[in-house]
Amino acid sequence: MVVTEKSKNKLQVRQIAKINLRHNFLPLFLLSLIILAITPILFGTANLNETASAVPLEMLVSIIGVVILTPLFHPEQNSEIEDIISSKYVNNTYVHLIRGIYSIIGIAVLIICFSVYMLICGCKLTIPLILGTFADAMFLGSIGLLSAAVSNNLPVAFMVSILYYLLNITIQSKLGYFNLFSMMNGNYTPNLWLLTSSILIIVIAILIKRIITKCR
Amino acid sequence: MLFLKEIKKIALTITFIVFLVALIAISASQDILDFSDMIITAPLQLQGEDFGIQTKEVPEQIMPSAFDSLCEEFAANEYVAYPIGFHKIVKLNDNKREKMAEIISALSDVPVDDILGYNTDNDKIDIELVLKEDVSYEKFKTYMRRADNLIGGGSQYSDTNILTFGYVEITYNEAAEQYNLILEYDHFTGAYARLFCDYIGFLISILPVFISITVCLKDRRAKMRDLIYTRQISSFKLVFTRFLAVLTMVIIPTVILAYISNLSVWNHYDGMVLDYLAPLKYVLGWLLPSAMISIAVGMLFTELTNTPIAIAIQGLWWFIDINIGVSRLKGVHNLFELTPRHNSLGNTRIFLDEFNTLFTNRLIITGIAFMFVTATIFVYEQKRRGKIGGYGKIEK
Repeated sequence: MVVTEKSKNKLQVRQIAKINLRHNFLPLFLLSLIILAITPILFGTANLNETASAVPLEMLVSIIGVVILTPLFHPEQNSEIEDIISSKYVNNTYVHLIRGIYSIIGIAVLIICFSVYMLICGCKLTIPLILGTFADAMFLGSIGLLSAAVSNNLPVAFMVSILYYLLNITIQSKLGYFNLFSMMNGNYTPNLWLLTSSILIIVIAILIKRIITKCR
Repeated sequence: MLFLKEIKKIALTITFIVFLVALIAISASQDILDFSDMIITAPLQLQGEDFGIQTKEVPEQIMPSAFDSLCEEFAANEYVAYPIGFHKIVKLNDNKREKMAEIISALSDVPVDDILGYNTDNDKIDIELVLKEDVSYEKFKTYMRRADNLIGGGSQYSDTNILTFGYVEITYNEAAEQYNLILEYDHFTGAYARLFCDYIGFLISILPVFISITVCLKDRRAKMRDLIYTRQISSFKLVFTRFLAVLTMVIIPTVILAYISNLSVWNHYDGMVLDYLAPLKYVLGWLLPSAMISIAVGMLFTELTNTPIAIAIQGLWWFIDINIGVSRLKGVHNLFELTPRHNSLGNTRIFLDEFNTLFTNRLIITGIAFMFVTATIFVYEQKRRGKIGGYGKIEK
C-alpha cells in the first residue's frame, strides 16, 4: 500500500485534533456547558423579545469565548510539553491552527445550541443576534489569546479578558465600536467590528507565538 | 527573609503589573481619585431649597403607582424582576396571566374577561383600569404579594420593592440630620473612603486571584517545585507567608489609592475635624476580607489541581455577586456577599443601620479565607509527602 503525502497529512491532522480535543478541549467544553447551564437560572431565557434575549447572550454566554479560546497555548505553559511538541515533525503553528479551528467551531456549536434552547423557550432570536453573540465571544477570547501569546502567562491572559469585560460594565459608552453589550440596545454595528478584529487578533496571536517560539 | 523574597517575586510578575495598571486605570476612569467636585455642604434653611427625594412608605402614593405599573406590565406581559439579583424579564403563561387578571379585577372591579383584553371577536380592546377607592393598604399589599409570587419573586411588587413607589421630598431637618452624621460619625473623610471602597471593591474581589494563581504556578514553571518540597521549611510557613505576601502587595497600592482619593478633599474642610485614618480603616475593614478570599481561593484550587481553575470558581462567584450587588447599591448588606456596596456619598444612617450585618459578613468572609488557607497548607503538605500527585490523583 502506498502512503501518499496527502493521506499522511490527513492522518496527522486527525491525530493532532484527536489528542488535543481529548486532553485540552474537553475540560474547557465541560466548563462552558456549566456556564450555559447556569445561564437560565441567573437570567430569564423564556418568551423574551430580541433586545431582552441579548442580555443573557451578551452578558454570560459570550464568556465561553474566554473559556475556550484564551487557553489555546495552555499546553505549552508546561515546558516539558512544549519541548515534546517542538521536537515533533509537525510545526507548532500547525498545531495551534488546528486547536484554533476546533475551538472556534466549539464556540459556534455551543452558541447555536443555546440559541436553539432559547428559541424553544419562546424567545425571539434572529441570525444577527446569534452572530453578534459569536462575535462577542470571539473578541473576548481573542484578546486573551493575544495576551497569552505576548506574556506566555495564562493568568494574565484571563485577567486581560476579564478586565475588558469589566470595562464594558464601567465605561461602556466610551468603547464605541468595541462595545460588547451593544445588542441589548438594539445596535448590531459593533459586533461586525468585534468579529472582524477578533479574527485578525487570533492570526496575530498565532504569528507572535510562532516568532517567540522560533526565537527561543 | 522569605516574606521579602516572596514580595520581590510578586512585584516582578506581569500579573502584578497588569493588576497595578488596571487598579489605577479603572479608578481614574470611575473618577474616584479626585472627589473635589463632590464637596459636602451643610444644608441651608432657605425658602424653596431642594434637598432631594427619598423613598418612604406612603400608602396614598404607593397604591396607585404600583397598581398602574402592574397594569402596564400586565398589558405588555413583561414583568421586570430580580429574583436572585439579576435583571430578569418574566412573561406569564395563559394560566398565570388569568390569575394576574383576577388580582387586577379584585383591585379595580373590572371583570376578568375585560382585563384579559378580549371581546367576543377575540380582538384586543382598550379598557381603563383604576384602583378602587375602598381598598385598604394591608389588603392591597396582600394582592401585590400574590402578584409577586405569580411573577416568581423579586418583582416590583414584593414587600421590599413596593416601597420604591413611594417618594417624598427630603425635609430640611432630615437633610440636617444626614449632614450631622457625616460630620460627627464620618468626619467627612469616612464618607469619601466608603464611596472609594464601593467602587474599587469589585476589582479587589477578583483581581487578586490572578496574582495568587501566578505565584502558585510559578514554582512548577521555574522547575523549582521539587526543590522546594525537599526544603526544611514547614508547609504552614511557606503557604502562609505567600498568602501574606500576596495580600500585602494587593493592599498597599489600594491604601495608597484610597489616600490619593481622600486627599483630594482634605483642603475643602478647613477647620473641621477630619478622620485621617479613615482610608486605612475602610480599606482594611471593607476590602481586606474580599482580597483575602480571592487570594485564598486562588491558592487552594491551584495547589489542588495545578491548573488556573480558580479563575472560573472565583470568577463565577464574583459575576453572580456583582450582578446581585445592583440590588444592594444603597448600602444594604447580606451575610455572604463578596463585595459590599454603598454607592452614595454619605447616607451614613443606612451604613450605621446595616453595620452589624456588614461586620458579620466581613468576619464570615475572613473566616472562610482562613479555612481555605488552612486547606491549602494541608494539600501542599500532602503533595510534599507524595500523597497527592496533582490533577486529583492520589497515589497509594
